[in-house]
Amino acid sequence: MKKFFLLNIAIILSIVWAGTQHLPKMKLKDLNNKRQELRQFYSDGPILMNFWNLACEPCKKEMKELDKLHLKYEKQGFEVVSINIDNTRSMSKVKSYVNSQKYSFTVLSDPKAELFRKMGAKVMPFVIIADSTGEIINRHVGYNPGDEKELEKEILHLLVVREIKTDTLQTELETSNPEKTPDIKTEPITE
Amino acid sequence: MKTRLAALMVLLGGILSAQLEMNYSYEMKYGDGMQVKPLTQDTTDYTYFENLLDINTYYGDNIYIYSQLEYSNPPVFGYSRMGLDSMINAFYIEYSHERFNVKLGDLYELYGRGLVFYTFQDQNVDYDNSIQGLVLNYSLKENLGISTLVGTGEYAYRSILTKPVADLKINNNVILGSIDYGNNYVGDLQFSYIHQSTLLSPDYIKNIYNKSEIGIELEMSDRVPPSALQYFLFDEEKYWDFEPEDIDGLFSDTLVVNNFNLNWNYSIWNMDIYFDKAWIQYDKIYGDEVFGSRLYTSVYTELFETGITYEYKNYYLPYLIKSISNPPIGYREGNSILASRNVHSMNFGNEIGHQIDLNRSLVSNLNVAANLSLSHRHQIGDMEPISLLDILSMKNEDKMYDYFPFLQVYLEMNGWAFSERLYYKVGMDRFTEFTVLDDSKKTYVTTVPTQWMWKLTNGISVNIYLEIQEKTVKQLSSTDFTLSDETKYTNNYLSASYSHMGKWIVTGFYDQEIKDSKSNEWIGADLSYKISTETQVALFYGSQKGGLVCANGICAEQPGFEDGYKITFRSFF
Repeated sequence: MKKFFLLNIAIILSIVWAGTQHLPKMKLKDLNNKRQELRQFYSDGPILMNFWNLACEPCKKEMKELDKLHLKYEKQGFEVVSINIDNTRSMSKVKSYVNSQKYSFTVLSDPKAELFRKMGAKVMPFVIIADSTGEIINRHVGYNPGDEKELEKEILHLLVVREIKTDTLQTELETSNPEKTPDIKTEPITE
Repeated sequence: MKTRLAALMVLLGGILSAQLEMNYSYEMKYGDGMQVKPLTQDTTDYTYFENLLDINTYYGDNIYIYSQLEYSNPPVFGYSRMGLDSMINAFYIEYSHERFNVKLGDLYELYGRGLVFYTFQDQNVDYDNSIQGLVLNYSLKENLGISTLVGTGEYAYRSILTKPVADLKINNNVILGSIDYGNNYVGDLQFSYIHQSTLLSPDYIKNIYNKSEIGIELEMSDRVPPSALQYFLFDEEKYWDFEPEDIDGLFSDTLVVNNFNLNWNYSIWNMDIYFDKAWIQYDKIYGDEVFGSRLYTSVYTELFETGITYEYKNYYLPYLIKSISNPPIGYREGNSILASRNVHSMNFGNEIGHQIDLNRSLVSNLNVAANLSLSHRHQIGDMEPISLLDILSMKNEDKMYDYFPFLQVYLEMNGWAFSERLYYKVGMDRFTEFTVLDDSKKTYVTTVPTQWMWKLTNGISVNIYLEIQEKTVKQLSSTDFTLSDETKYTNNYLSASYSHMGKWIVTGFYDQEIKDSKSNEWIGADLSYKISTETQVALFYGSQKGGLVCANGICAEQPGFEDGYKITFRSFF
């Protein structure tokens, strides 16, 4: 009983202690069997990762909306990366499904559910939103129609924050060296 | 020991580290009601209380620790875990650097498509075949890598699906070596060698003797020592010629399995080819080494804007006890409530199968999907030969029983209509299987699953699942395969949900089974509330039909739940 109590205290302490969380440094294979570094997808802006498998019906409905968000904001540096966690029982059918849906975003494969586990996920759909430093801003569990509006708000917020930072950096560079400063701005955000 | 190590590493060490990042996932399930036992139909009190806490700890970019703690009294499936020593369900520590990656602890690994090694955990069906040990992956070059794994593990499983807890246990020792190579010309190649030794206790052999296909084969053979027969057949010590303390030494058996696995992945034009072959030398219980193999291949291509996936499996390892492998199943797993209650009785040691899966988007908001799966066992001894046409027609029954033929056809149409306000999905699933296991039977099932979702304004939506199923089970005489009994079932399932701004959802469930004109109904209601994007709570009141719960190839029989309530709480932080 004493051990159990101490263990709980230690867990609570460590929860209180834990601060920000970042996406792990990891490589996953895409549907063409090429290894992709996760970091490359958020180097230019915020990222939204959704975890799904073929048996998850709400995931498929959500992905239709995520595709629209990706098309709308990709020019501002935003990326949707879809992580499929189908295991060996069904992973051969994933490419066929993805191609039939003509998604504009990248789909990566996580058959051991390693990234899924590392993100603390238990159920699907599971969405993670992170900024361009990889810091996790929010997680969403489950999907109901209309949830995409909340996701869009969070993405817009991150894009605005990034635009302000970029403007500030541009101004600082122009002030210090007006002749050699490159234009580092992305396309303006439009809702 | 594992508890102390995990507690020390994760909690105390972590707290002191400046570079520490942690996330947590907590899930609580509580239920209080009545239970209907699947076999006897007796009703008893039923409560469960299951708590799972997953802790992910990162120290910078290189070190990661995974811990899963469980406190359950009892869980939905499996044994209770209440003491501190049994609290750590899974634990591993991982160190990654540019070229290498090391994991120590409970290993969840996959090589190829799992023909010889695939370990994973699934709490939904109380499954965990992990190996405790060490795995090292090292990249010699960008396209050349090696991997080695050493470990030991206890694998527990159910002798029959209706058992509430796993009652059979074996111990594995595993040594694995693997090499990967890939380039644009030859594709990706992987070769693995696995040496596995499995210790079978006398109790294990006694429990399967004459009770499963492996046990029946053992009974029919002349391999069992006569003194061991006394132990297997009689429970009372007075019939034995030996001392109980000598049993382990006399009747345990160690089975050695040597696996050689080659897999190859190649893309050419618009075609993806995957080929996986395992050559396996293995021991039978109390017997000599035999040879078997597993072959799995899949081809994906696109023709006339239709995605086509073909899969072929040919597994021939009769009487091998499957523990650390999980090969592809090669058939479609239904994701409808009613269709998923009928599952093909797959034999991973003796099965040939084909699967064709089609996907096509007809117009922008209309998709069609189709799937045809069939399988049968190998021709052994004096079994009459059969053709694929026999399986497709499921006729010529007399000569087909020994093949355990299985055929499934699935068609689906789904899409959006009315300015993407209405989502619809209409399917048709036809399942046919002949089996000659405990009893000979033919099962024919036709299921029509439908789903309708209507998006109203302001994030309000209504979601309806409506499914109907007709099932016929024909029991056959074990001597001449004549019809001895025929049972017809009609199942109807309806669930309707109202979602308000995605914040709270009310769902009503109605599940009906009509068997020989007698109707049974299960009615329930569920309210789930999203406290935040990361925290949800759900309250269920009513009854739920028990039945098979299958995930990742493992099935467990969930008992029926009558007149009670369930609470589920999930949070990520």
